[in-house]
Amino acid sequence: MKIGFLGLGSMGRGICRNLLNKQYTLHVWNRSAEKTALVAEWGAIPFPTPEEAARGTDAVFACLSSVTALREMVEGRVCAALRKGCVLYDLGTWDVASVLELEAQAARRGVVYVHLPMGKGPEAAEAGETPLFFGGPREIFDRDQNLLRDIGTPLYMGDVRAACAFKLITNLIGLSNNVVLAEGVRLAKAMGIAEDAFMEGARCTGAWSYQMSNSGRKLFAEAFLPMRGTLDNAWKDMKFGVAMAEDAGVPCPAFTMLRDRYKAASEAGYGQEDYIAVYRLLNKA
Amino acid sequence: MMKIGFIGLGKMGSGICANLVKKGFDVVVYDINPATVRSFVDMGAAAAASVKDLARQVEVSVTCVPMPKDAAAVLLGPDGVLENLPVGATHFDLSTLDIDSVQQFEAEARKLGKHYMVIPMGKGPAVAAAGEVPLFAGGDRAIYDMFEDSLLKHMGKPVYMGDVQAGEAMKLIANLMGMSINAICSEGIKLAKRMGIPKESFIASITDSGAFSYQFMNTASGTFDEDFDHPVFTVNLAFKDIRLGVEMADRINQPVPVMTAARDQFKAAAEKYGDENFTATFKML
Repeated sequence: MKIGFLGLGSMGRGICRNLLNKQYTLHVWNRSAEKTALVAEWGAIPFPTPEEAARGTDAVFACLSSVTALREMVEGRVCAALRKGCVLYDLGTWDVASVLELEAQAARRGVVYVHLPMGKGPEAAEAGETPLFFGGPREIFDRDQNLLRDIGTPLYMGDVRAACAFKLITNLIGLSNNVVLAEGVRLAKAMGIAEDAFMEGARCTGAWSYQMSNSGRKLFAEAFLPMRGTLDNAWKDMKFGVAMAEDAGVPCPAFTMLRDRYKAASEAGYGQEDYIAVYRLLNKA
Repeated sequence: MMKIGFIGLGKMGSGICANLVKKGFDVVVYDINPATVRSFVDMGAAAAASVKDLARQVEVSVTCVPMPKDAAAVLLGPDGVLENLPVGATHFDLSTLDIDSVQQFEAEARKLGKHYMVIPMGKGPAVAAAGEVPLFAGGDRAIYDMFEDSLLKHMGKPVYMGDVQAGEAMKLIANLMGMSINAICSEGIKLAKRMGIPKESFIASITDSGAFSYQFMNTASGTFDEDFDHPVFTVNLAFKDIRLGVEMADRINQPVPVMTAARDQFKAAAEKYGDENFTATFKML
């Protein structure tokens, strides 16, 4: 099976690694060439443009950080390069309106748009263990089970809107828990609690979260590198989520405040660091 | 076998004390509720006529009382535990207290030639009764080592955190984090319901995502059903715990804006729904 893959950031590379391990023929494109070269070393075939990477494939995955770039591809030559009925899997996280628009534009060009946001970070993507929140036709979900299981854990959420809403809520909760963790770690350090004692003590209490397993020790070490996802990207996800809540008329005081913590951290100059750098706001004070 | 005095047989204390009695420890109890005392006598414990009477006859005493003022009333003064314990005896405090109080109790004990350790509990009554409650031990390391296997592991799962401040701080931080995460889960669930996401797929998918937490695992189903009338832990108690935590942060001038906002949310909820389950902050949305 021939797969096109557009966008080779840390999440995209993790998914590519799994596709290559499972012996798919992989056509890749990335905006900057050095990441393309890296994935080509693993066995992928590099292409200079997204439409060339997409042409002649059985399915295309897009894992981009800009919805504008994706929209241009869907409305332009990428969809034109695809066979009728071909599936475009969008792994990105966007606002509800953009996702509905992408679905409509793809359909106009004979392409099936599936919204497939991912539930965890780069480590999980690389391990082939990222949850995939599927939004699109049920028959495609059933038909492509093997492909989807080769790259993660597919979960059928409903239409594209349902998958999008679910993913935004996941981000709101996860990224909010991350800020709570940052405050907890800051307090623990200030009160003279050692890292191992804190991790062991909190692991078996109501304070535990996935974020703690994932980032607790990094926060204790104040290690904001290596980068997993940028703080600016986290802020973007919080903005999408709060905007959705506002459109739905659901007041979310905590999420709104937490969005503003990411905003403040970005404005303080931490936008291109790992998203746990929201912690730095606590050191400054 | 060492003789242990146990004061405070409420929801948390009774589970732990019952385990000690069942394991064959020589236990003498005191509680303001005579019916509770009788049930422990039936189980095989001895009853003391007063706090003073209890303290005079044991090598180790344990208290588990609701509020800092209750702890001070039991521990301090001519009829209190610390004055009446034999010289060289050790007191273990299970109660959730503020940092000032535990430092005061430790200083008072030292002045009298006795040992004071905190062992606040990391989880609720069911876990305490099962003998699995995390105990955040704070105080002299040598005393901890002396009692770790012989006593503390029969009460729960002890973790040595450091001095009394560190042990108590761990408990307060765990509460701050847990209650803050809980308020965040409530907003996420409110939003999911409004967006029409079915309960089962929402819970299953969050469980496999970066948004998962102990709080979510424990409370999401009940919150989704808006069942707040079967309290396992009341809003009032949650507010007390989170208030003590924010006060600790204030005392060391460490801003914790998200936890402070969560405190305010619990405060507002306590005024209206204080006796309902702690998840009732959901009703404020």
